[in-house]
Amino acid sequence: MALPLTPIWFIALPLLLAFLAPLWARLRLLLPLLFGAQVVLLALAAALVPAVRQAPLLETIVIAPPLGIHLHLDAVALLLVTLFHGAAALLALFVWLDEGVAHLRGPRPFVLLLLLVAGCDGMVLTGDLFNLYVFLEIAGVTAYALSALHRDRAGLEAGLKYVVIGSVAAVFFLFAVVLIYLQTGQLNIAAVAADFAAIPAPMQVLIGLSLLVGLGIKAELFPFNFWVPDIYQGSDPAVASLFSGVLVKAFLFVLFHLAFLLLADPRVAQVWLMGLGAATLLVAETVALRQPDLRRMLAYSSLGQIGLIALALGFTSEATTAGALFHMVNHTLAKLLLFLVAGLLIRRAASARLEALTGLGRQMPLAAGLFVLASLSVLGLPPLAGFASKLWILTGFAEAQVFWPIALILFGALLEAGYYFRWVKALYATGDAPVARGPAPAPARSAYLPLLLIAALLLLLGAAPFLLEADLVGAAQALLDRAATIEGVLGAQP
Amino acid sequence: MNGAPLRKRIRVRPLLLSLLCGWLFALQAAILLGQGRDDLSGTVGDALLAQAPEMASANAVTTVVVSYRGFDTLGEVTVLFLAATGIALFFGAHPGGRAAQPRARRRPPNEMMVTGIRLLFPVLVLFGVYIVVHGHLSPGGGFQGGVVIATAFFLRMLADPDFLLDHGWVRLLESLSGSGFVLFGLAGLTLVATGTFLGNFLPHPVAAMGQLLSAGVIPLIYILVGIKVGAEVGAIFQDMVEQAPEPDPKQET
Repeated sequence: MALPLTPIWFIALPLLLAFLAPLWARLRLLLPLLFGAQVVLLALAAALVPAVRQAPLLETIVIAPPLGIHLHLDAVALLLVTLFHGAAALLALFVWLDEGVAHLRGPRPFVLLLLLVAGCDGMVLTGDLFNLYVFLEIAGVTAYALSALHRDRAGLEAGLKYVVIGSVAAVFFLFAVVLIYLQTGQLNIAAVAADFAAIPAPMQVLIGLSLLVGLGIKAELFPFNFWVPDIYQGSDPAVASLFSGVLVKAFLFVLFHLAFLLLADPRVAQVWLMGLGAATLLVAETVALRQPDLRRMLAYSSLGQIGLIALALGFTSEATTAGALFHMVNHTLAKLLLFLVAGLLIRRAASARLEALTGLGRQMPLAAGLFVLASLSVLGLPPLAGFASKLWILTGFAEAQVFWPIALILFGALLEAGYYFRWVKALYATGDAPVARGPAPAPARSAYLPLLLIAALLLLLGAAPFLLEADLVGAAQALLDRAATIEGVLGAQP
Repeated sequence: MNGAPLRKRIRVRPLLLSLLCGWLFALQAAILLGQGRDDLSGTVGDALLAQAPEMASANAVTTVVVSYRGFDTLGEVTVLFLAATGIALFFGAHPGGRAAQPRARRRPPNEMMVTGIRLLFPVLVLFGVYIVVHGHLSPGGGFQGGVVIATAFFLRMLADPDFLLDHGWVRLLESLSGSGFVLFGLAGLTLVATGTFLGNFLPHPVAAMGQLLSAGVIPLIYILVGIKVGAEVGAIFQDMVEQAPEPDPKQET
């Protein structure tokens, strides 16, 4: 009885481990298992790469696709799943090695962290609309609980806000699913895509807008993202790094995946998606300039990068899409590093205010150095990964002779430089800070290991972007090739 | 009546908000009701119902919920599990936290309620078990039966302030049933006969349809769902009822 290596393990293994959490707590295995599970799944993703390069993997669950649920592992899903498990493995290693994040080490955070990533995997992998909703709820409910993990005033406020806004988003999404089922009688995404053009036009608009609002809230696009900074500020920086690095990426993928699949001509949605992306970029970067709190600044910076990714994905050309996927990877790594370092700095200073962090770079040179490195990657400076992906996106726009996004992205980078250097300058400022330092001791030396790993990855991807180039182009083609996806599932030309 | 001006007694913004919500609801209801009238044929639902007898479960809905879309059910069970985890995190005992202030003791429940619940309790538990076990034969199943059983225990909590579920047992049941569900799924995946996650790997002859022992893994999975739902909902009730106890050093976070 051999265990077949199929995509279901990305979901089944975390569920199994999470349900057995009391056992692991008794055996004192929580942290090794949290890390080990992510590493095993990362290895599984790596093992599936050759097969997926040949053709997308379709895994049937109980009965075949148009009727039943199936998991659809194509190049882009594999890229994202690998990214999620890589990020989660680094975070788990940090939680394991760093003694300071005590409230992330019990059985409940173990369950929540495992299932957050499993929920994101499910959203990316599933080929069924209602199943997508179930995973959206799993990821959502874990995120609500995680954001309030601190149980202090800010944390509870963040959790409550997140519950309310997340439920509203889920209702919009569910409404769209109900309408789609009533109109087409199908739940399989590929089957829905094949029938979508037959729906009356006003109903198409209603479904599209419901999806856009629901997923726009979840993916933190501009008019719907007013709640984000509060959540990132109230939750633990390590948790915020997962929200920014994993959760939002999954929702962005779902939004664009559905847009590209359902619409025969994606240019219908192009104006909307690019407009939302551009507005998100511009507003978030501008607001970030004057934030007095490190976590809020990082939250707005994250929103700005999300806007950039949405702008590039919405353009639907192969070059910008591949660049945007690459930027997703780089942004996840950079924000993971920024939030984790921010957590260390904030713990040391016992505050996240600009004044309190002044001069801290001299006490924690390694942390401050990593902060600078990650900031430079977000800005897109040459030896780092952020440069390679931004250049790719800009080249894509330039080849298509569309210049306003280029101006916008460069302007955004200018603003980013403005506010990141403000914080870097404060970190290295001379003159002693006016406030007393918190009593927290310096973090253990080993806690820097995952951070250095992330930094090395950022340098590696910046120096050698060609390592990922073929996979990224393949992923972009898989994301954009609507006919092939529908044919792969339904077995016939739509 | 009281001296407050009108604009203070009637809050304008909540009023507008509720009007907006009401309008949205009416819109939604209008759209959905309008949809329902022309009965749609050729949906996935119809196709699944036509195919359902192959699983030999007399209740076709159960076949769809537990087998064809069992993956969704696993997800829903997980959502409930997460909700219970979240509620335990916020309402449950704060180990070593600051919130462990014993509330004023409730008044003892009256005699009618105590006697009534004493009579009702075994009936309710039996009824819940029946609904769970017969999920593949008649309407009902793991979710419904699990909630009925949890309600029986909730009534006990109301009738007897000292009655509390043992956290260790609840957690054990929860873990075993949840992991059992996943293991059933994985068994379906690894056995050659089915080869898919949650495949029905036990014999399910159509001739046995309607008997208690039929439909292969479906009743077993539904029993696990029933145990899990009962334990989760019971734990949620308990977390809400519980008078925050003294911090217990043995209890883990």
